[in-house]
Amino acid sequence: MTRDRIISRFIDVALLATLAIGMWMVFFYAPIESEMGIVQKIFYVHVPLAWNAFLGFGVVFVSSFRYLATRDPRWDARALAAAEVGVLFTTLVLITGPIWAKPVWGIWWTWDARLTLTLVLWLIYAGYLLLRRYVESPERRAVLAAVVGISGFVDVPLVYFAIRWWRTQHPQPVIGGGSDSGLDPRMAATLWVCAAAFLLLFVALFRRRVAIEQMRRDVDVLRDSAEGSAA
Amino acid sequence: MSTLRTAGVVLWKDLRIEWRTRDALSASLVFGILTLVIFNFALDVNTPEMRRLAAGFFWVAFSFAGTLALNRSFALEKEAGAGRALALAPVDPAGVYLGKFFANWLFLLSTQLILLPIFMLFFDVPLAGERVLALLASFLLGSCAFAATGTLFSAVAVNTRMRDLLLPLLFLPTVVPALIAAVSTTAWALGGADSPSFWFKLLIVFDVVFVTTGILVFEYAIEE
Amino acid sequence: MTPHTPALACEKLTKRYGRTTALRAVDIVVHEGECVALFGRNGAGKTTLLHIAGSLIRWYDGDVRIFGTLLRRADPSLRRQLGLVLHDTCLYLDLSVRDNLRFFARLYDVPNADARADELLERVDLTARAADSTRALSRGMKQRLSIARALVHKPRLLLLDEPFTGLDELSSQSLSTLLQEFVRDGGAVLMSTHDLERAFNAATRAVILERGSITFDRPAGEVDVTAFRHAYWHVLFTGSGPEGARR
Repeated sequence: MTRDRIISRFIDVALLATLAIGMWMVFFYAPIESEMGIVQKIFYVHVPLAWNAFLGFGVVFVSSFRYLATRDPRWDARALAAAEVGVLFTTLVLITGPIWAKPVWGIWWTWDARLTLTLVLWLIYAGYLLLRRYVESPERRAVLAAVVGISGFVDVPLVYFAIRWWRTQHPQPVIGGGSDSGLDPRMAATLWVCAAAFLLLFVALFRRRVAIEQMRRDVDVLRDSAEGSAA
Repeated sequence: MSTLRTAGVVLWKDLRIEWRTRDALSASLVFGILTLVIFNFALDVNTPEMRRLAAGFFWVAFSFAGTLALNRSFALEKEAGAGRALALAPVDPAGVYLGKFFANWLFLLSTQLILLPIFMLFFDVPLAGERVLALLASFLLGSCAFAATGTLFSAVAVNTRMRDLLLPLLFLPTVVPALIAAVSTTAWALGGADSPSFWFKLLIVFDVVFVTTGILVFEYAIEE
Repeated sequence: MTPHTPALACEKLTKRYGRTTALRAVDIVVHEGECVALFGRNGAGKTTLLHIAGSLIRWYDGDVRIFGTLLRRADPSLRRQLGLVLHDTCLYLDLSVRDNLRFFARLYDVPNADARADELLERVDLTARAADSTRALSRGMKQRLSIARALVHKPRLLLLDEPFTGLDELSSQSLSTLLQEFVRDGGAVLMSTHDLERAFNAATRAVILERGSITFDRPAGEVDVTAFRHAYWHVLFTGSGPEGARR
């Protein structure tokens, strides 16, 4: 218990620190992009969110796998938490993308490769969360969710390659100018710091969500045994 | 009993049921034709631009039609609880998956082949002789992708309160890569210019990946 | 496996569904050659007990052994020994009567599957309807077909959940006979039922399950049916055990 608190505190502090440094770097260190101006700075939020959402879905995959292997409900709680934070992050990617696109390209949405990939991922994992809602029994829910958690992630590389080639054949405006298209080293540094900050944000949210889920389950068990002995 | 023999028995059963009722085929055919007709009213499909996009219309119609057939696949297992007896039998669940997968593949492919001439009629689409094989390959691999993922997700969705909503919700986003590939290959087969070789390769990879995934996780989808 | 290994042995079987406890530390044993009739109010836990013994429910406390092997850790092939007749008929309504049996016979890899299917059609007197769609059958006939399905792979333990419900005189009679034959041939039967007449025709033991616990367990021969009926109605309406019949 205490060890948990110490870790949480450490993560929170590190999060605030990297976030602060990151924001400073975004506004005062990284140069202003020549073509797009200050709007381009959304890139430092948009891209790290996408990376960490992807990581989140990886956690869903591993947790789903571990759950099926061990049937330990804690893995199910982790899968759920990772999926929720992942969907939150992908939603933010889908919001920051258009915010960027509008001033730069004049349109809200361009079916840009990263945005399209993110949209498909959002659909897959929103489906995962919706599935959980519509299954009554907790054990069944965990197992069925695990099946979807695994198939969804297996699909991700296929979606990535399909969309990338599709966009090569039918090019569209690219939001984000490609994170690897000749970045100024100061921009690259800023990006990495922001990526670290969002990683810590993911971890902090994930840990709290797992804790809440665990508490909810503990309350259910206590309530059931209390009612059971009263009966 | 070996996995393949189990698959054979389950395939036999699904084919016999379809033979007696023709439910899956008729539902998906009617819905497919209906969708194609609605496209005709919603858009002016007789322009050269639309003809280029014809492959897309076909696969959209098929995506919805196919979902009906896939839903039925496990609805019949739930109806009088027969699926439970099937899940309890001392057989390899992978065999059950393969049996249903092959049955669904067959139904989906049949739907496509029957829809094709109607589609070609409505959209005034020519078919060059040398690309017929490519068209068949596109249908074969595309319907395989739908069958592989659809069979797995149908088994999952049938256990939920909103099975008719959840099947398309779960399975359509997952099948997106195969859908893009299927449309691209069909478009090329119907006279398009963009090379389809990458797409055929992607379809094959997709099919292998999802049939394998189905074989590995299906038992969890049907356990109680 | 010794000749005294019971077909079914449940030890301290407990099952909770959230707030409700369906079974409380139930101990029950069924030997080969026995037909145990399980009585109880709706919600007493009869279906849960049968589902657990039938390996449909995996999460519970306590031990269940089928012919000495722990069910929880068993190979799926152990399920070969079980035949289940549940509330659902577990049939494919769009298959013909014969095809339903053929399917399950083939699925269980029964030697000469098709012949075995026809043999069972005879046993349950459905040969005349063999080519008909299962959907067209009456409730009683579907139940008979369901029993045939459960027997097609020659199980040694039959689990039936209220098999007499909805059956007409003829079907009930044939089911009773079937059960008697099954038991005579060395099989074991555990069935839940509300039908006292039919049950005592076939049963060798009577058990009452009340709110998750067994409150009565006696050989059928020792029980006066009329007295039992009174006591059982008492149980049904007041939820308290039959007088002087505690286990």
